[in-house]
Amino acid sequence: MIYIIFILYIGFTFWGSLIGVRSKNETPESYFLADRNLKTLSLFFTILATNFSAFYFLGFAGEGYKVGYAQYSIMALGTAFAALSFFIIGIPVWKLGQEKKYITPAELVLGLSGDRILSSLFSTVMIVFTLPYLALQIVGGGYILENLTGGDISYELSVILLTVFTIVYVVIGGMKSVARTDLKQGVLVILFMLLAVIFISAKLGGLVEANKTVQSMVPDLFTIEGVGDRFTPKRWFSFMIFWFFCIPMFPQLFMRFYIAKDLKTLKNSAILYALIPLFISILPVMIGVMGHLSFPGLEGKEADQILPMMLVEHTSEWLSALVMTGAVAAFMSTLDSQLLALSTMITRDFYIPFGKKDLGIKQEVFIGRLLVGLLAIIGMLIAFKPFATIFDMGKMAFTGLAVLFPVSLFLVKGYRFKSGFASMAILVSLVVMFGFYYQLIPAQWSFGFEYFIIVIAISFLICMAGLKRKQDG
Amino acid sequence: MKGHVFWIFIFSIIFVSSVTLPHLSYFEGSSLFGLPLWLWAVIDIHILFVIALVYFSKRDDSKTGGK
Repeated sequence: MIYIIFILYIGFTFWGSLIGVRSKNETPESYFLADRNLKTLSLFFTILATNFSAFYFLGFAGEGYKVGYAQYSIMALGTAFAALSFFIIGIPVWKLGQEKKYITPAELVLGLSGDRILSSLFSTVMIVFTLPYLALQIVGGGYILENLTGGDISYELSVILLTVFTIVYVVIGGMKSVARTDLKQGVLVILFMLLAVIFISAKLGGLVEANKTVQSMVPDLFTIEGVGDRFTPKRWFSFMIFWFFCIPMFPQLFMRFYIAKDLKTLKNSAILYALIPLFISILPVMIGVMGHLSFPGLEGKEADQILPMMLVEHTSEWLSALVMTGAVAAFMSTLDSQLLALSTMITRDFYIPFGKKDLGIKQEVFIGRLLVGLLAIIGMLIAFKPFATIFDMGKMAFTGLAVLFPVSLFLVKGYRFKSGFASMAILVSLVVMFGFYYQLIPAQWSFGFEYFIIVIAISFLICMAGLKRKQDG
Repeated sequence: MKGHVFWIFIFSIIFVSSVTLPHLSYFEGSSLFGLPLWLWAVIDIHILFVIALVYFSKRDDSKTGGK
C-alpha cells in the first residue's frame, strides 16, 4: 500500500505537471523563468515551496523537540518579517528584470555595478552556499523514504533514487512544470500536516491533554526562551531579523522576483507569504513537542527524525504514507527549484561570459540541463555524509547567503560602490562567518547575539564605508 | 500611514517583542489548545504585522496605480 500511495502521489504532483510544458520554441526565458508570467497563487506557492523543505518538516520538528514552542515564534514571525524584503528588494528587482531582461541575480549585479569580479563573486557565493541547502533536501528525503519503507529502501538507495528522479524531472520540465508542481504540493502539504497533527494528538489523548503532559515532563518546552534558554532576547532579536536578510538571497527566490506577471502579483504574494507561516509553522513544532511523550531522550541528529517516527508510531499506514510522501515530494520541489536556479546561474554567469560567448538559445538550455545533473550529483555526494544537523546545515548556508543582502540592497536602491568595497564586504564577512562556525573566533565576540548578526553587520559596515554616490533613477 | 511611520512601526514590533515577550513566560497557565499564553501574544503581533503590510501595500498601490 505504501508503494502504491508513493507512486500515485509522485505521479500526480510531478509527472502531471509535465504535460504540455514542452514547446518547440523553447527559449532561456521560457525554460528558466516561465516567460515571466506567473500569477499570484502560482507565484506564492512557488515561493512557499522554498519553505516547504527538509528544514520545515524535519528541522522544525527536530527543533520543536529540542527547544519547544519558542521555535514556532522564531520561525513564524521571523519568516513573516522576511516578506518585507519582497517590497524592498523584490519590487526593484522585478522592475529591473522587466526593463533589462535579467535572468540571474548576478546579471542584475553586473548591470548595476559594471563590476564583473563582483558579479562573479556574488554568483559564486550564491551557488556555493545553496549547495548545503540543496543537499539538505536530499538528506531529508533519504531519511523519510527509509522510514516510510521500514528500511526496505536504505538511506543511500533513497538518496540515489530521489536525485535521479529529480534530475529527469527538471531536465524535462523547466520552470513552468516546477511552478505547477509547487502549487499542487503546497496545498497538499498543508492539508496532510494538519491531518497528521489531528491524528497524532488524538492518539495521545487530545492536543490539550498531550500538551499538559509534556509540560509536566519538560516545562522549558513551553517557555519563550525554550529549553536551555535557547532564545534569550538577543537571540530572539537575531532570528527575528535573520530571515529578512537571507530569504531574498536564496537564488531560487531571487529569481522568483523576475517571474511575477505584474507588480500587484508580487505584492499579493508577499502578503500571503507573511500570513501563511502563522498557520503552517506550528504544525511540525507541535509534533516535535509531543514527540517527548513517545520518544523521550533523543539528541542531535536523532531528533531530526522525530516527525517520521511519530507518524509511523501514531497514525494509520495510509496517512503516514501520505504525509511522508508529501514531505519527500516537498523536498524534491525545493530541490528542483534550486537545481534550476543554480544551473541557470552557472550557464549564464560563467559558461557564456568566460567560455562560449556565441552560445545559441537551444545550446544554452541544453547546457543548463546538463548542469542540473551535475549539481544534483554534488548534492547527493554531500548527502551521503551530512556534516551537521539539518538545522545547523541550514543556518550555515543561510548565513553565507545573507552576506549578499547589503550589496544587493544598496545596488537596487541606486547606490554605487568605490572599487573593490562590495567584493571586500562579501569576502571579509564570509571569513568572519567561517571564523565563528569553526570556533576560531570566540563565541562571546558575538555579544550574546547569534553570530550571523555580526557577520551581516560587518557586510553592511564595509558596504557603507565604500558607498560612492546615489544614482539618479 | 507614511513610509517612515510604517518602518518605525515595524521596527518597534521587532524591538518591543524582543524585550517584552521573554517576560511573558512568567505568566502562569496555558490557554487554548494547551499552548502557552505568550504564544498567543506572538500570534497577535503576527496578525498585526500582516494588517500593517496589507495597509502599506494598498497605500503603495494607490500611489503607483498598482503598476
